[in-house]
Amino acid sequence: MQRLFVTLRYGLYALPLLFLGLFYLYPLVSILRLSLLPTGRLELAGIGQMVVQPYFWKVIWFTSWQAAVSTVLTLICGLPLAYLFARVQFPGKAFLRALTTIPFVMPTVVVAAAFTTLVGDKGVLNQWLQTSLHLDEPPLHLLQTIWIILLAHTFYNVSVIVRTVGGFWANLNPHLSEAAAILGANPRRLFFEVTLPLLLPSITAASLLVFLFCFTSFGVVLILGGLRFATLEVEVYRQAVSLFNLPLAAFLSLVQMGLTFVVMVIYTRLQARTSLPLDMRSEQSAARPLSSKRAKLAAALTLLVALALLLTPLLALMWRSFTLGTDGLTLRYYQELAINRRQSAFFVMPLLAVRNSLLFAVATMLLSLLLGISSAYLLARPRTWLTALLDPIFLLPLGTSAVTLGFGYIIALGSWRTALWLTPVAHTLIASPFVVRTFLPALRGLDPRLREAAGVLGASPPRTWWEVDVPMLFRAVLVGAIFAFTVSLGEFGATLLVSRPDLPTMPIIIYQALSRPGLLNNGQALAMSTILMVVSALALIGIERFRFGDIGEF
Amino acid sequence: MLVTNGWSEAYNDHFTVGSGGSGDRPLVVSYTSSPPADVVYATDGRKEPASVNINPPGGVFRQIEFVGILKGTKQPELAQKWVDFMLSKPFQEDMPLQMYVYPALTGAALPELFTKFAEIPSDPAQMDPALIDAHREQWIEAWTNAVLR
Repeated sequence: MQRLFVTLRYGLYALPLLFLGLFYLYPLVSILRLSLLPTGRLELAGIGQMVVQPYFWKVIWFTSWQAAVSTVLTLICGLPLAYLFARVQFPGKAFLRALTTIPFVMPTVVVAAAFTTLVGDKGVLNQWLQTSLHLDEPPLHLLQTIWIILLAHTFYNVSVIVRTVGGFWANLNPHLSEAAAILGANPRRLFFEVTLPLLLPSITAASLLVFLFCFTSFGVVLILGGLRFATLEVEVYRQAVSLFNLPLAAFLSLVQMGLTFVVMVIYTRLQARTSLPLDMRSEQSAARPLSSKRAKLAAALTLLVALALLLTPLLALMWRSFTLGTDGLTLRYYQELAINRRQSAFFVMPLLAVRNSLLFAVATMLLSLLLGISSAYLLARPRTWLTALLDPIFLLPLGTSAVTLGFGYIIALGSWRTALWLTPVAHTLIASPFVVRTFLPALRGLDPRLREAAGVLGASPPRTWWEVDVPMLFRAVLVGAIFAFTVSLGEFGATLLVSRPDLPTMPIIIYQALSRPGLLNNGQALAMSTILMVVSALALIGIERFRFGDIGEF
Repeated sequence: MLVTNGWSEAYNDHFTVGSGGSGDRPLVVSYTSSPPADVVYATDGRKEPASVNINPPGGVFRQIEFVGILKGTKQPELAQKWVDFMLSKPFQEDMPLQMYVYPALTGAALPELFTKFAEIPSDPAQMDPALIDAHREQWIEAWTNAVLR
């Protein structure tokens, strides 16, 4: 029994390594070799020309600073919300929390359209300002500027902070802060000297994820920022797809990976150092209703502002799906989704796309949990050179150029490319780092004395795991599961390359509708986006209701 | 002038007609075959397109789409048959209203929407493909530097 458990454990450790080797390193090395060594010899001429151009350094600088500023803005917007969702009891909490996660699954193309409707030169906000201030010109010019990039990055990533930090915060033992308060600490001091240090591991983990997302940002920069702005990822895309300059594209993706690696090494060092064993409590025992009127008002105001930022673009999108091109309301675009107007042999009922998306998302969720949790247990072992090296490597897929990896899949995976299971596999590559990052702080925070006590009282290792680890870490698993699920629902770039035409996902249907002219197509894209929103919200609320035995939200 | 990442954003988000009125650009660089699509995918039952083509002499470029067989295929006969099918009359006559492109086969009849609203430009800009091939990257780079950076 004991032997079996040990073998099983090492088998589980090997699983994520095998997965990364086969579906990440192998295609990546294949494409890099083909690009950089087409004749078996390294060709450096083009790269030498690139490095001496000031433009190259400008791109690196822009990529870094916009990611840093976006991360700070996302933290500023996300932390108050994380606090509210973690510590305060108020009605409709689960529903509102699900709403904050929806931006995460929305394709950039339709979000861009929603932003145009809202803050474009002819948008709602500008028209309102113009009439109320009696101006001749629209006062706000946000589209195609850096502001819209920062705004969109915040819009997309707030849920990462709300979920990761909020999930951690909810389980912190409130007695520590209460003790500090009794000893006379004012709320400010209490936050900076008690709460913040305890939250630090999860704040840095969440910030890192947001930073990586913005660092490799592609759609937001290209579509909302316009072609004047270029991150490294955009430049890789331009070199690979527009100019077919594969050596330069490969070099740029290596630069991007190198920079990501440096950031992650710094982070994993910090992370391992700031982690403390914590006394975790269930959310119910930690959350409090607000007592004073002032606190209630402040909470309501924070929620209102944050939800306005997150929800108005989504509501605008929804509104457009019912009103596009008409004066009244219409269901035309929803009905049209079910009509095969072109009598196309490739027509797929949109309801089937909903089913496909959900099936892929569930598969991704299960696979990511299996791989992510095994990885986290491996990383949480006593620090050796192996775990120190693996820690940043498990995050590397997030910092890798999607275009490059996509090309790698095409040349390296042969007949697997059309395999049904490749879509969830590709999604898992992006989703499992989220599981690792949300699970690891909780795992490291698990007080080892609990396991020791169980062992002393005679529990076998499997039983200790089942009765100590599982209940204590369940909430972190849930947060990871939600991320994996949403990443899969919204994923578009990799899906386009690996999915089959007979099994499209919802984002693929949206993309196809937008690639044809005519209002009916534009409207169908909006209708499908609305369905995507509603389906994700329902699925998220469903996952959140999942309980482990009678332990509930623990 | 606004340069977007691609046709979809330009046409659906910024073009006044394609965005259903929320965009603020009354002119868009698109395909001469876009007006027929305006009719087919109209929501108000219109019989005429909401947009029209402007085809100034030398101001339109002919875009040719390709079909090819990859070297090293294991199924050369099957591939050949598929290409023959794509070049057959039924396929070529069906393509305009599916893909909004003109047929390559000379004998293929054009649908009425195309003959009425997607007239073939009489005087497109033309350039030797070899010349384009020789300068493509250099021109794209020069254009990018002049317009975008």
